[in-house]
Amino acid sequence: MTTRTGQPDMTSPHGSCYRHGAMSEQERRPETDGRDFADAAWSVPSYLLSGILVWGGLGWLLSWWTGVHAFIPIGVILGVGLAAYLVYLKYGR
Amino acid sequence: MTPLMLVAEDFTAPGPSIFDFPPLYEGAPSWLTKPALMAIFGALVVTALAWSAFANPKLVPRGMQNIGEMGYQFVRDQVARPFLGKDAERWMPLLLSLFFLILLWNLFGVVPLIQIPVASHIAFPIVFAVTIYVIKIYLGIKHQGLGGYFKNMMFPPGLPKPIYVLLAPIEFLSNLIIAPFTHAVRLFANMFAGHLILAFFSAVGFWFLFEKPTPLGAGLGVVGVIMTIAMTGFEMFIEFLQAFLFTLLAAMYIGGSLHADH
Repeated sequence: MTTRTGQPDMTSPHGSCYRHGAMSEQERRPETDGRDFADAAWSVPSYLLSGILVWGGLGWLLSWWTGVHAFIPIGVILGVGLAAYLVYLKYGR
Repeated sequence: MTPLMLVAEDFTAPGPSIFDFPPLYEGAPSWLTKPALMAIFGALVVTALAWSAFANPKLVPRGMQNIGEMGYQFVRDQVARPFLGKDAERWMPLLLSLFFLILLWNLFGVVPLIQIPVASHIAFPIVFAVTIYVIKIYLGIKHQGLGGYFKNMMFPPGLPKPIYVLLAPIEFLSNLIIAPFTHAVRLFANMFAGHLILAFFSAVGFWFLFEKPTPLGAGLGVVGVIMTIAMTGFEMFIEFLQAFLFTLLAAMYIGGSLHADH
């Protein structure tokens, strides 16, 4: 990059966009590396809530039909476990 | 019964009714209330600021352009690039407007005489969240195909088929229902609770120092005033943080629809 000398680098697709401080793909890499972490951090609560709602809800339906109340905690715990497993699959591997 | 309880007996803490505003003037439409007026005012202020900063850009930025470019760089480097990479510039107009409008709306909560964070009425965050939600799904279908979008969303590759039965409903609910819901509620609830806390402490200070001053109650009133000042500072931080988070999540949802990379 030759932007430090004041000459925009016209060969780069973004070189001409910035007047100063333009970053090459190389320099930008460390910032985009944080993306997966941030993605995971913001997705985890939503996944856990969904897991509880889907499988806890199914447990609630089962307990309603069968009269066995144990299905509710089983469903909730199964949902949390599956959600945690899903987070591991998407971000942990 | 102690004297302190005697003076505290008539005190009523402010409740959700402090968010209810009557129409601005006699015969005004019922939607035209102070928060609605402030929403429009905020949009006009952001437009004016952006206009004065970017309408006539100079090679060497001065004055408003300097401030505007600092804001632009902040949103670009902290919000757009981490999630959108090389697509960041294309989405900057949306993200920049979103960030500064929400920031201003939130800061209205601590501006004297205005003193109502616009987003403490959930209708306003809902409009933004729904807008981002529609953009997210449109982009996802456009860039990954109708089947591809839902396949990438609900079926992370490389798993035995029975596992998908267990996981796909969680993915579906999380991405399409919980995520947009929490996107709006996070902003709304923070502004609502913050405003209520400020109203409570200032009511305590006002009641025990001016309305019903007693020797014992005065100490409580002083605590109320000190807490009001401290919480105002804290609120300003939260108001900035929530504007930042809302924009960050918008960038994250857009980025996730542009590239399915998981």
